[in-house]
Amino acid sequence: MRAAWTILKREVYAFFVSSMAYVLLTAWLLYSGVVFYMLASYYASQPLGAGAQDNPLTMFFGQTTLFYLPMLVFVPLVTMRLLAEERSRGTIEVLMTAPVSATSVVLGKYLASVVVWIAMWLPTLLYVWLTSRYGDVDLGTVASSYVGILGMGAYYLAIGTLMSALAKNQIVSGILTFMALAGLFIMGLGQFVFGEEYREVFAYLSIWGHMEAFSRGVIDSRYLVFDLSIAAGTLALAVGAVRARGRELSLASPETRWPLYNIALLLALLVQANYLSYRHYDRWDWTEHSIYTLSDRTKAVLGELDRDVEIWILLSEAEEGFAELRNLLARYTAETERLDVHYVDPDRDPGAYREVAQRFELGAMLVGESQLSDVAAVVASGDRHWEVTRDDLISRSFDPFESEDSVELNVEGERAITGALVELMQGEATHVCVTTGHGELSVTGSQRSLAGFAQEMRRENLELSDVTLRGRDELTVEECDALAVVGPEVAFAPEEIDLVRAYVRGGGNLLLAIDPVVNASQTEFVDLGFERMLADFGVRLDRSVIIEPNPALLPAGGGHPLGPYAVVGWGDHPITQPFTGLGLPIIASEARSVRPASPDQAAVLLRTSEQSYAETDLRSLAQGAGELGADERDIAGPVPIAVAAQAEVTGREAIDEDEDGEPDAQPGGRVVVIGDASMLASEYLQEATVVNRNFASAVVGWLTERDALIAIEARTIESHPVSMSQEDVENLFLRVVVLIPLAFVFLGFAVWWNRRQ
Amino acid sequence: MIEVRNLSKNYGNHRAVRGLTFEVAQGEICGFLGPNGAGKSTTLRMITGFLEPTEGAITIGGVDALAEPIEARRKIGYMPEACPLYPEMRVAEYLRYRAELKGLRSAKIKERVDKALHDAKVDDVADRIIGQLSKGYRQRVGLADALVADPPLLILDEPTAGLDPNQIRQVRELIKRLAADKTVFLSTHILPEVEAICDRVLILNKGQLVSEGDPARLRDGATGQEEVVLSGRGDEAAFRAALEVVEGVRIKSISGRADGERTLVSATLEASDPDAAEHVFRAIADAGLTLRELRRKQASLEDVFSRLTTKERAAKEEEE
Repeated sequence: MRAAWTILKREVYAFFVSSMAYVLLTAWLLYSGVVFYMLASYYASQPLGAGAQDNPLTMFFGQTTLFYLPMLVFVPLVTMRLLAEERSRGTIEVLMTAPVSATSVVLGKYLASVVVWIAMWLPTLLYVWLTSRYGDVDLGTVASSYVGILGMGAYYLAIGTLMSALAKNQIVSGILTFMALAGLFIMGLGQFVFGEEYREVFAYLSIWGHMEAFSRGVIDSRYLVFDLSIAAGTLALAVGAVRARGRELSLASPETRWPLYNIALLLALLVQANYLSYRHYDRWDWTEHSIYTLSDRTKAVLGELDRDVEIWILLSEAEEGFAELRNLLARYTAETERLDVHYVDPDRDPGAYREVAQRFELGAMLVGESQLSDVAAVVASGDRHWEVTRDDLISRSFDPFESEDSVELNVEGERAITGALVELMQGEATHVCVTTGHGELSVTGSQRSLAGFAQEMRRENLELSDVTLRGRDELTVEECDALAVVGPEVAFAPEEIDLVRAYVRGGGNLLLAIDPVVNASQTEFVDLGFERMLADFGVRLDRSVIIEPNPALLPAGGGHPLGPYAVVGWGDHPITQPFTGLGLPIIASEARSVRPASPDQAAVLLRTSEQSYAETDLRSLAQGAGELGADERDIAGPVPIAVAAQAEVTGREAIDEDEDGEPDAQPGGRVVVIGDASMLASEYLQEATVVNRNFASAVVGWLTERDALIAIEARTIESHPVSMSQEDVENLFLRVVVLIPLAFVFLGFAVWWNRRQ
Repeated sequence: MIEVRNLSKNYGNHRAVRGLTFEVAQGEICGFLGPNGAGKSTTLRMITGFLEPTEGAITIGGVDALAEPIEARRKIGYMPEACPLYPEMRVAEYLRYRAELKGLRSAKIKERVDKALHDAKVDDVADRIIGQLSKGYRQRVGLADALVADPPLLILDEPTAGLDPNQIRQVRELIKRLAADKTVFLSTHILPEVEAICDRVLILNKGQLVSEGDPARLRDGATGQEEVVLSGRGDEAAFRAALEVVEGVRIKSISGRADGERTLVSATLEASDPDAAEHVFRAIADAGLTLRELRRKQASLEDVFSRLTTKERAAKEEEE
């Protein structure tokens, strides 16, 4: 192997003293400079970039044809000399009569081409540096892009080496390599042509498919095994070709040094290695924010899958975030063999889409040419299925409280998909009963309806139904997994209150969302009957209304201090955990304060701002409209407006013993009180830039003990996208298109000058 | 040092080498003689491991060259015909690369390269780029390459081809000097070269060994039909009379022509005696004639081969 090192050194030396090297490097850097400049100026002309991954660099590394086409030319230029030149010059005779093995020769030559390959790519590090001056560059993603380029080089250069070993001269070698690579590349394009069942296979064979993962910061073991195994196999053939001296390739010849069974054996080995690696692979997430890393919860869910699950992704590839989603799902399938993911593009394959839509009764509308449904994914197993909306999967948001050039990307897909899996694995729908008869929002109500809320909850397998308390003797946990009272306007009768209290004490879960209600003359707050009962559970429901004077929390262009306003003070509780780091607000309006009676009995979920306060004197509010301000009787901000409590359990075993002796995960008796009903109103639930829906979902999830819905954070990636002025772009042109290639022209000239005699 | 048994090489249907068997002893300078296309280079390439024989066995210094090709190659310094080199390298760089490739320890490389540069008389061009050197220098760089690892066996394919007479002399002297502690096996198609430097000669024709022995014996066989060419001044009849009586000589042709006042005679004689030229000289001198030129015309290699192959054919026919 020392001989391989010696040959490598000479080969690299011979390359870098040739003027061909500098012509090649200059041409290459001129080409990549132009491509990079074009991508950068394209991005500069966009109003705003999006994620940390969405920048000219990520595009440059393998997201465009402009990346692949030059490979088909530059790889042959690098490899065509290797052995073909030795043969045409006759030096092969001197080389092969030295005490060196054919393996050393091939390996030395091949590794030399890898060194040249690296030398070709090294100057592109300058692009990374230049980009980092104008915005965030995810170095992990850059590193994995280079790993991909190295893998691709390993694979392509080995093919070039083989062709150089077979060909009589350099020109033939170059043409053969070009044809082989172009053939492989065109075959790989099958991933864009054929249906989804072949897509994976073609993506596996295509460097385009590989680079799609690598350029986004995902290292996929399958692709590395593919690259390296093909390289090893090809080099083995090249060694055979060198041993055969390229003379007796005629298969008819009895003395052929090219035993067919060896090739067959090699092929079988390659197929076997790739099959194994394809079945048992791993993906490593090198992105700075680990956007493709699955949470422990998801891994646990996937590990426990006890039946086959199919996921249909009904999104167009052009959809924002599609590639991220595909990479995320690849992580899922890497984790378990029970999961099958199908991609159906409604635009490109409306037939298949209609089929899926019909099968799952998605209720797609045909608008003009395009199919419309907000269902973006269906998770199905057996006869059960679960729908995930587009917003659940991925959303981009502009945080109004952060600087303008900061952009956040929420990767919620994991939460949605894993939640869906949990739901599928679990049994029946959870029933949430909604009280009626007191002017509340109800499921079937015509005026103030919870229809929007009900629809959102149905996606999470929650069934909302109306229930009438009046005239009932009992409300059982079997009947209602949770009871919701949303925005009553009339006081509850004492019997009804007793019924609710007994229900909670018996392990029932209660969601109270109560607006401040005033009497007809607007002079007094009205008690709706819950205050005493809540005091038993450690919650104080104040007769107050919250005033939010901070203009930053009011809608732009001025709003009313009574609301709607944004609330961003998250408490410390499993329900709020996903939101604390998010920086997204929840919208409240005309809310009352709800406080824990003592800190150990209940936990605050949500607080208004420091400047806000809860006005307890309705009269003073009504009279002095212009003079806002807390007086000593008011509750000073931040004012809690939502609390969670756990009622003492009576009439039911606190802890059920399961067969396995583990405590049952349903101690029951959970209470969430929100001082605002409008928080759950449809108009806010559908707003993507606020978290009302997620909060409602998390609250109901916690109440019904469905941790799956709350334990996975919707991750947020904050980034400063690349932004360039026109001047920056012109500067970039000078650097990447003029200066860098020019530097190599000078380098080549210096080498020539130095060797001229 | 070299043992070749029943060596054959086929290129498709063409049988380039047919059942060669010979040995080259340690310390010998052995010439490998044959016309172009006789299979000399093919045989050398098989011995050096560049080509694989169709059949046969090759042993180099006790190592089976087919079973352990790399071990066998370590013992050989080979200079191929036409001496291919990397034109972009400098001479000393090239030799350092070759020394490293041949497995020399780095500590010894400088010393060995310097010695090879000196021995091959290329030290004055050590820093020149090979592509810019003359043919003679390049040939010697090839020789330096063969010497650099100090192998016990040198195999040189046409080492003097394409050189001018001065360079040829230098190369021959070098080979003779090297032979002190090395075995040399060289191929050539020039008969005098074999005479000049070889201890022993193998003659190859059409892939088969036709003769083997020391150069003198070969010469004996070949000079049976030596010709003597002369020219002188005087009368044609006087010359004819003088020459006719010389022993072992037969007049093949004689002619005279007038050159101004003088008459010039030129004649070609067939001689069977190696010393015929001396007898002719004496006879002309005794006859009082003036000799302008007298030389032995050696039989051409083609003659030797045609005679050897004819003999062979005759022998075969006899057998049948």
